[in-house]
Amino acid sequence: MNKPLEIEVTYTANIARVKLRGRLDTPGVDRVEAKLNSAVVPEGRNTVVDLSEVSFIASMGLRMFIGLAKALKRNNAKMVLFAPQSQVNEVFNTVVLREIVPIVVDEAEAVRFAAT
Amino acid sequence: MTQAKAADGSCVTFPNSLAGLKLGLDALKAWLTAANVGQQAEDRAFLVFEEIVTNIIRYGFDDSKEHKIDVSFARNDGELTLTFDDGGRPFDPRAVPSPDLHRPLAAAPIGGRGIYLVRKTAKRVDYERTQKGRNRLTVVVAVA
Repeated sequence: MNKPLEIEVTYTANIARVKLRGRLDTPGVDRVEAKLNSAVVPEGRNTVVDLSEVSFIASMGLRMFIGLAKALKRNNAKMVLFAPQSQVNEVFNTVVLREIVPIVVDEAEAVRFAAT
Repeated sequence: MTQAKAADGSCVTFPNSLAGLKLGLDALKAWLTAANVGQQAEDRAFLVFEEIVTNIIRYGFDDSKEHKIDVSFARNDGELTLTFDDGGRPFDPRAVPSPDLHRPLAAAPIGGRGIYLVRKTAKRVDYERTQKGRNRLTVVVAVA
């Protein structure tokens, strides 16, 4: 059936770049959430998340991102999401996520936003 | 009760657990593929299924025993109908207040958006508490 959600984290200077591939549904979040948090929260790294290969998101995915953004904020760091695809963007619009978390078009803009 | 059953491809029964949810999602995927409803309708059906079943698993039961969740799927006249049947505590999603979506990050709740997403995605949501003391929730989404 669907491939399990994959996560890849790379670091450049003070930015953590997170690449997700797959579906951010409950099984997907269960698979990656602990790894994602432990990769970026303890050191309070500014984090940009590439959603260009995420085909689907449900509320558990929203919960993961909002929880991560709160944890980073407590450590004086930011999370920026970029390149959401159609279903993901539609869900973000429905819950007005942009009022809580920055969402931009591409990685360059995300990095600029995270660094400001 | 460790496997999903999908005798005619339009009904699935699974336990109230993450493993059960995965079985249900697989059954829904198989049915949607066979029904050839298109990506947008698939996404709507998956979103409704995921939110309702996750809610039942997380909040439906007071004990840690295994309980059965039944879901049926049907397609007619440009609509998909998903019917959820469970024996958990009474829960009418239509009565859940809409979340305040305009709070800043520091004040925003982490959760509480799933039922709102279902209501915004669905064409219709109907609920009844049956005489047998079960929740029966019917959610209709558009195919086109």
